[in-house]
Amino acid sequence: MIWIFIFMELLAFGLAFIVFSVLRAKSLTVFESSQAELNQGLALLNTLVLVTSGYLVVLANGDYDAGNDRRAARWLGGAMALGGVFVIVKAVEYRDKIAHGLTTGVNQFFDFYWLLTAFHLFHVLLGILVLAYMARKVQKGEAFAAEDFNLKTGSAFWHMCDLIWVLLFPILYLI
Amino acid sequence: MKSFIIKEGAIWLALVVLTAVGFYNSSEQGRSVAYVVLAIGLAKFFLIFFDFMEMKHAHRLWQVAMTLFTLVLFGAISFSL
Repeated sequence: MIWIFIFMELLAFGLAFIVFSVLRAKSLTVFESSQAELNQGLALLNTLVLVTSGYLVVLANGDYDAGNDRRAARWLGGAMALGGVFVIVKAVEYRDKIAHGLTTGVNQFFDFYWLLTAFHLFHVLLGILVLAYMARKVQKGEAFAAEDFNLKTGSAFWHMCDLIWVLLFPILYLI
Repeated sequence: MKSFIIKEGAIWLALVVLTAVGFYNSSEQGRSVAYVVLAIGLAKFFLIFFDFMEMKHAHRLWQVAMTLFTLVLFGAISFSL
């Protein structure tokens, strides 16, 4: 079930990326000048933060499988904290964009910038809640009620946030 | 567990290095640079997809579907550059 969900999410983002790329090709000058207004440094920091949080989730799964529940919960806590860092960095970036009047309606590039990054941010916030639920369950040593909603599927959701960002970062910020 | 941490740590390090290389390359202009940055993104995508996400344990159908989808997506984006 989780793979169907992930596939649908990637499909939605993927279609948006293709439309973005086609529009970029049509208005290259506007898109390049708009991209220059973005803070690539903050996006790089957020990439490293998400990749590292993904690593911590992998370690949590390893410890959970080995029966080290408390340590698994600590790794999940670390991943959640990094998720929080991502949200803070994104808020700083958004504040800067709003202060400079770079909101939706300015041009197609910023319409897509807000649509894609905000939709991704929503997934990260949801992912933090999922990780919190998982960490609580694991720390208490409680069994997961549903087969489709356990540490593996929760982790897959978090990695999906990572995957989307790995696509979004070069397309929106770099090329 | 120690070997697991080291193995996954190597994947994490590869992701960090690829991110840094992609970022460094993006400071240059040109279509060929954009292809390199996209190719690095694709490599990172597959590292997370198959290792971190444990897609290697998923059903073969999903592995093929997701791989094809990703290649088509990157192909379409590359074509529009």
